[in-house]
Amino acid sequence: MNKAPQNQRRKGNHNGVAAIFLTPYFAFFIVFSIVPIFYGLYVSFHKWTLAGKQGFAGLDNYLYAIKDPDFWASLGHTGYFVLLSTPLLILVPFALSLILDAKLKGRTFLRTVYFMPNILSVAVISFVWIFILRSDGLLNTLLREIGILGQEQELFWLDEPKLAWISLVLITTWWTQGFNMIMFLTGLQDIPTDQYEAATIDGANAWKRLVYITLPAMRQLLILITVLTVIASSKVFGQVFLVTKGGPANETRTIIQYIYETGFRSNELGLSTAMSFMFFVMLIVLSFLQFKFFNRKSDQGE
Amino acid sequence: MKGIKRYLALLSCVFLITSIVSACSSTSNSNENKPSESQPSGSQQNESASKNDGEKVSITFWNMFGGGDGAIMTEIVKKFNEEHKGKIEVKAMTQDWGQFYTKLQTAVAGGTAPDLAISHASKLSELVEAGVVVPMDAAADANGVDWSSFNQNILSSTIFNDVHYAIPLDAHPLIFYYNKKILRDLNLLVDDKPAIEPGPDGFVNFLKKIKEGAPKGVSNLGLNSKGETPYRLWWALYNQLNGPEMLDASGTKVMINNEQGKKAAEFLNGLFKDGIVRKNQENSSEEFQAGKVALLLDGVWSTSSFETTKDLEFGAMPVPQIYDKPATWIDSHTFVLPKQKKGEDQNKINAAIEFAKWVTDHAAIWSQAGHIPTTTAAINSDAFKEMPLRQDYLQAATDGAYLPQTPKMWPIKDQLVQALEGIWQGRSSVDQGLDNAVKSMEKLLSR
Repeated sequence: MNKAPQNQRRKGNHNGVAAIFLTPYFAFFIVFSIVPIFYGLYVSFHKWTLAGKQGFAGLDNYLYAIKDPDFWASLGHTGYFVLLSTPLLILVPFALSLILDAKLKGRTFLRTVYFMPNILSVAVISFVWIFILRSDGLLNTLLREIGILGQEQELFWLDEPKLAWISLVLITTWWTQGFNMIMFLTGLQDIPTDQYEAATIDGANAWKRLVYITLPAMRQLLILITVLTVIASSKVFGQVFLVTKGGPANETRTIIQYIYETGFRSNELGLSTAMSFMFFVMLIVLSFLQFKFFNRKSDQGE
Repeated sequence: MKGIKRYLALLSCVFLITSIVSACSSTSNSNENKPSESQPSGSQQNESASKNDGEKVSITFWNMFGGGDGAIMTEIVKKFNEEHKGKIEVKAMTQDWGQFYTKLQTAVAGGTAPDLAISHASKLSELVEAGVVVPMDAAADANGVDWSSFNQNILSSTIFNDVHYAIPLDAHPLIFYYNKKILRDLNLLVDDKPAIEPGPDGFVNFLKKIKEGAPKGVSNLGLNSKGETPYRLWWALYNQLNGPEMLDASGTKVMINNEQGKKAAEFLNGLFKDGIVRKNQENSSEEFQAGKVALLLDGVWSTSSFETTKDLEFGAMPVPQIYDKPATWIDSHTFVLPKQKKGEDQNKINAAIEFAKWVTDHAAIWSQAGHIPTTTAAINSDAFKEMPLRQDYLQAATDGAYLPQTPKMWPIKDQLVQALEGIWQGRSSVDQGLDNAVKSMEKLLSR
């Protein structure tokens, strides 16, 4: 008897057990993700309302969406939000993780504090911020107290397009950066300390240690987080819908909100599904390009 | 041993999956499968079909009433069930307001519709067009509903091509609240009513007088420059000016960009632009409640919460007539019969109509919430006459201008609100704002 077949058998066992453990997940995945996606594709080629199928529409829904200026405007708003929020959602948590990775007194407490907003639901954070940002809210009162605003002045944080965008990006950063921060922290803790020690002995200062040790070691993680953040930001909906309702004058209406309104306010589920699919394809292309871009860079680097 | 364990694990997985699948498939029939405590066991469906008058009919009733409305409706249903013990039992289910119509439409599509439901008058067109609700002339006639006893203005919003699709439960117009104490201190209260001089100038002067005289921290008019309320006031003024119908006969052209539309918008815009009314009053109802606002434009539904506020001495009246005739924004809650895809049950329909009729005739209870009853029986009842305030704004139900009947009413209204908001917030001129409104509304209507 040699050992090889026994090994093989054991491996086979492992696969079997793995399959058993994976089955529940896949069952849910297929029933609630895969099937709806294909069903959605079917819906998108029909005129469809809440009452069900109303008839075949061919490519009409797609053609209408392509010619719909509101569709593109909403898509533009989502793109704008991604451009504004992604850098912040990477730089802020990265900086925080560097600080909180240092030997700091009470860092566990601080980590908890910075992560805390992340566990709150979108409804809670939205209403907290509505109260802060209202024209007679905390922020304006504070700005008046410290003399930045005059006594009779007030800023309409949620009613002027520019300020509304600033507010939404700040809210989102405050709310979601904690997750990225924890990811960065785990990444930092994986870097062996002897590399830093060796570099310090060789006379590298903190900046050089960051650029030549930390960043290269974190590269993979940075790529992953960038991609995840871009996707997450592209799907922005809840906080915008609750805080500004897409206003003023649809200036902050995101593509998801427009899809939602088309589906459930205008009762055009076929059209809204077609829009979702167009958006879905755009996200796939975007993610693909990101990975490709980052990978090419790594090929050149090595 | 190992083999057994594996087998057990596999078995439990299979069990899990089948339970999920069966849970999914059974939801669509859950209504029929649900045993009803009140009925003898056995096939409920067959039994109800062959039911004679002596047996009890149980119906489901969906509404979206939360807060004070919800508590009062629960009380009404309880009272009805007590009076009809052994004959009819109404099972009221309150659905979340944000999801109400989505749920109603999917329930109808799935064949699990409730026997009776509430709909807003302004939403009826969409439900009628989508075949979600069924005509009720025959059922109403059979159960002694006297259409002529209804306020005809309210009733007209529920008739489509001469067919009745709903029994109106109430009218809830936009009305005008005033804080008596603040006005009295300023000598602006005559016979317990605000002494507003006629015409737009009279109204503006009245606001100016309050602004000049009122103590610090008290604003004159609680009117937000965002959202629904300024649009509702605009609609009120547009109709006071005898503005033409919102849509043309074909239902695809929006007619509001005209002399009357501009005049109403300019008047409202002037209030904000000239600083007569403070912009962005997000919580004017709460501020009125706290005695920090002298006048307030709000729906009748705020009456009950104002009444229970300590130390708030207030009055209510229809929106002042600023232009040619009295008019205001108005909507109604109505009873509708959702379509039953799996077949109608005449007993249930009769029970549903009987309940709806009973509630509208006893609408004095419902008007505790502030709403205006729809039938002469309810309006002439002592219970209603004894209630304060309602008499003062009763006329608004007759003068109110309902939104036009078009299946796209709600989405185009959203667009109108947004476009008008652009004017109040100073982003667009009156002309641009109305132009934007027409364009975005027509875009939806042409689909």
